[in-house]
Amino acid sequence: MVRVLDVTEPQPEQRPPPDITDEYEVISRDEEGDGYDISEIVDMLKGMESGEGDAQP
Amino acid sequence: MCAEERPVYPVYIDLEVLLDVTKHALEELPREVIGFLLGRAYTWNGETYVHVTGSIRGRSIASETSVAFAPDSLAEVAESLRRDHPDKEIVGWYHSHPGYGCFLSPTDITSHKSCFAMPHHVALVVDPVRKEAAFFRVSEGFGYEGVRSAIVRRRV
Repeated sequence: MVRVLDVTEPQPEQRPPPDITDEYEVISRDEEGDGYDISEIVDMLKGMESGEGDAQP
Repeated sequence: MCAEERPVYPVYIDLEVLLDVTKHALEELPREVIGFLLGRAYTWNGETYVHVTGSIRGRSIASETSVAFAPDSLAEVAESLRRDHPDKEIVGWYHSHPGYGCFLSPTDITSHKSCFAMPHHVALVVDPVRKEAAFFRVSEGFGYEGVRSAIVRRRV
């Protein structure tokens, strides 16, 4: 069976960015395009993986 | 500054997506990982931006310094996109550079150019060892540039 694909380029919808709406809050901005320090994210994920923060008996 | 005058960042990414991508990168250490970024492109005040609201992990053939999609994994990704994310489109890709920083290698640039032809398509590189992440776009010729972005979270 041949599946027909729509290859037309979708035109972007006009919509205010998340930080302009009340729906979202900004956690961090990269103003220069030089990247983020994600230490907090990595440390949190490693903590979850090791069970850190589990309730102690 | 009123909301209408705020600069439009080329990329907005939901915090939970960055968490998922970083988790993927940590789980596979010391190997690299690869996947797709999902979301939508929008325009505002004449500028195009992408809002990254999801990701799909790619099954890969990876080492500590290279990664590529497994030959049969692209069909799985297409099926996952259709089944689980019908309201989203692919807006870029991510991969990890464990311990050697965030940049695009010549191979990365070639991959981006061949697979992500739209101007708004972005590449996210995560280094879970140096604990860094950065967005890039490929520019004219064989160069690339860092892209301004914002990490956002939906208010509860």
